[in-house]
Amino acid sequence: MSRFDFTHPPFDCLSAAERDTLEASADIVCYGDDEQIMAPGVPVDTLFVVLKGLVREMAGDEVIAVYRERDAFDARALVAGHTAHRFVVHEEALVYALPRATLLALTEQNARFGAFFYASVSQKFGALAERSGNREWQTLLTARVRDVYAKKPLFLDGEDSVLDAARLMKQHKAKSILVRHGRRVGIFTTSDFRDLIIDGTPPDTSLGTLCRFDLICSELDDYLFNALLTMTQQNIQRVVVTESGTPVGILEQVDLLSYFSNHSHLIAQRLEQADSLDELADIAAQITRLVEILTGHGVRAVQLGRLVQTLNARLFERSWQLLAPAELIANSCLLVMGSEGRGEQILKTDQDNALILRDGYTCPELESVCQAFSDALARFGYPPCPGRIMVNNPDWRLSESAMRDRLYHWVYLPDRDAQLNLAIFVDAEAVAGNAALLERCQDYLQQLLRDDDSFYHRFARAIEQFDTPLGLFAQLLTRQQDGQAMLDLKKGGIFPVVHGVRALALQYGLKERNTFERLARLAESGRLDKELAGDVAEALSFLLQLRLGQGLAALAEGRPSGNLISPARLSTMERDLLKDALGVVKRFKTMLRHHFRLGSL
Amino acid sequence: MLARWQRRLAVRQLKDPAYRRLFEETSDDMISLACNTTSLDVAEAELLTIGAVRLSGNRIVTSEALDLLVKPGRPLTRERVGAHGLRPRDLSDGLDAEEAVRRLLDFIGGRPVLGYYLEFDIAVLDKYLRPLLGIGLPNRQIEISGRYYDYKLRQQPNSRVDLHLAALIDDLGVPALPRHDALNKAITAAMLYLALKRRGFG
Repeated sequence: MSRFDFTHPPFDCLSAAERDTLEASADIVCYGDDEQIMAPGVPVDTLFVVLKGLVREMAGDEVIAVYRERDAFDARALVAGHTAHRFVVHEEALVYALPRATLLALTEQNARFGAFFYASVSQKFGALAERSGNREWQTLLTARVRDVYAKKPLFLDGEDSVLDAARLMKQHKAKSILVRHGRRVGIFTTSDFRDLIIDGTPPDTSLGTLCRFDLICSELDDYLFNALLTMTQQNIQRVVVTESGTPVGILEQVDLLSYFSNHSHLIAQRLEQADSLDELADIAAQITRLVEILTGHGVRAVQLGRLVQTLNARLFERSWQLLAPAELIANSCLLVMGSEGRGEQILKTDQDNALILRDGYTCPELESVCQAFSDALARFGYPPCPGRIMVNNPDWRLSESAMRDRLYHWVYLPDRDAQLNLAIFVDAEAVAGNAALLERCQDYLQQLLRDDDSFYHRFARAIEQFDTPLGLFAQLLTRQQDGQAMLDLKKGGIFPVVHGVRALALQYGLKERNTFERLARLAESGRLDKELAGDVAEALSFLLQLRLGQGLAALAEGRPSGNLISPARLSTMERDLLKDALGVVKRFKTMLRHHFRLGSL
Repeated sequence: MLARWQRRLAVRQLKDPAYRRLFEETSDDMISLACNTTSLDVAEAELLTIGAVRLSGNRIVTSEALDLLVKPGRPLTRERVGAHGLRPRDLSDGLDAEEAVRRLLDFIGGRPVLGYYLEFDIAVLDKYLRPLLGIGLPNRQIEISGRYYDYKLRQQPNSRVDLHLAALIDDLGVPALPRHDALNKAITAAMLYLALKRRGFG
């Protein structure tokens, strides 16, 4: 009978009968401005859905979420039976009150619906990620013919002539066509033309008399690997793709090989064997394609980040080897910093890199080699870093002792960029040459910082630079761009998390570079609440995923990938999760503020 | 004075003493009420559906709402089917009118009733009630459009007040419900009442 609209998450996964059950148990409640709906210490027995008005969720005096029409609050509190936050009406609200008992019964009955009511956000995100093929090598083995085969088949009739076939194949740039002849289906390929010339067959001969009917087929749902095996065993260049035995198209060996060639192991192998920058440029483009393919297979941003980091590191190393003389390589350490060092740069966004030279070593060609390296990276698609944090900038190719001086200055005599420079240096990872040079510099930095609490205070303060775009009057605070409301994922969510975790990692002297590994280590050692660490990791993973998705879409449209997303273009579920993720970011910031005493000073 | 006298007269005219409690206002709760009928002319109109919902404080207890289907005495005319979307077959498993009205009375008890243009609904109901009780519905009645009129007039004296349901819904910021069955009308009236109550016109 559906009185109210239950077509939005999480209610959209309920069956019609389940919706009726829920609706039959629901009441409507009207609250005036500033009335309190839920509060700590009062048992929670109701899930509220806003019909009209605004409700804000408060942690102390801070607004951490705002609920408006169609938003439900609060799933976590409902499962826990209590809440740590106050839910206060911001603007006269009519809400739907759904009783706990009915909801919990439904969560047991309907797993997808239940996923929304798990106690922690972390599990909620996990439910979203319930996708197959999480590990990259699996996609190679589990890819199906369906995944590659996309072309519409070309069909001709058995009565049509050879000439018709030639024209059609030219028009569609096809190497083969299928021929319907009576009840049978045959195949006619380019190599058949060769035989026609040799035999002197006239062009008006009907296809039905020439094509072959002994088709070698692969079913649409068969593994791609099997199709490859078939082609190899039979020494043929294509198989006919069938669906339940009916031919629906042709899978060309070329398509199949290009699919496999975008595979990371093969890319890695090509990297090893590459001996020119041209070849490396080619491979760099292939890495981006790999990202597209794997994203399509549901591989998540976090795993992709690590995979791409490995490949990029080899790409950098190989380029460096091609450009730099062996002596320079042995006497220096090439490092990548920032997101590339953390393994969180999936699409090429900037080239933060530097070179540390052994004390006393000089190389006459140093400048030209470094310039060539930066140019090569630009050619590979890495936009030059706007802050010029690149080896072609003399400020970022230093001897070990000069690097130490630099670190000392950053810590004790900080100038405007000191914090930023330190931040990206903390994430540095060696990719070529003598890694000990970097290690010694990082140890030195740790020594400098030992027991200097005021430093961490200054360092962590950067998280306050940008407000998390989850505000009082709208769920998602956005800024206008070309008439579209935009939200900056990096400033609003990714940066505070990455930097906050970095500050903690620095304070506790962690060796890990990757934010997720740092979080895991912090939770393991009891430095960070386990549940919060889990929530933060999931929130960051979601934000990275979102940025990757929109970055790929931007690349497909020929625009540079950026950090701005338009919430209006997200699905309701994504928008919900984004809100949750930003809520977690706020919680984490509150914790950091307390930890580093950012309120004081 | 007059009201009390009328009440006393009504109690004396009441045929069935079981319905004495209609006169006893027991709590602060109220009943929002709406009907669908076969005609807009009271003399011809027959009940088709009855929707009612209890208001308790700031809560509309939709989980215990009354949603009744009534079997009409005469076949439906085609044009009215268009107006309320109920086909004869939808109503074939409805209740007998007397049974439906008795259930409604049980649901209302001594509580005041409210509605949007309630006068018409009550007039149709009274046609069924008089043979049963000897009287019409004796409960206190709250007219939403009347309250809204007072509210608007206080805001902007001398202005013309649009009393269309859509205007009230829009002005008071109440969600428009997808379907206009009797229960939805009753719920809408209840939401409008709560909104007016917030503004001091309950």
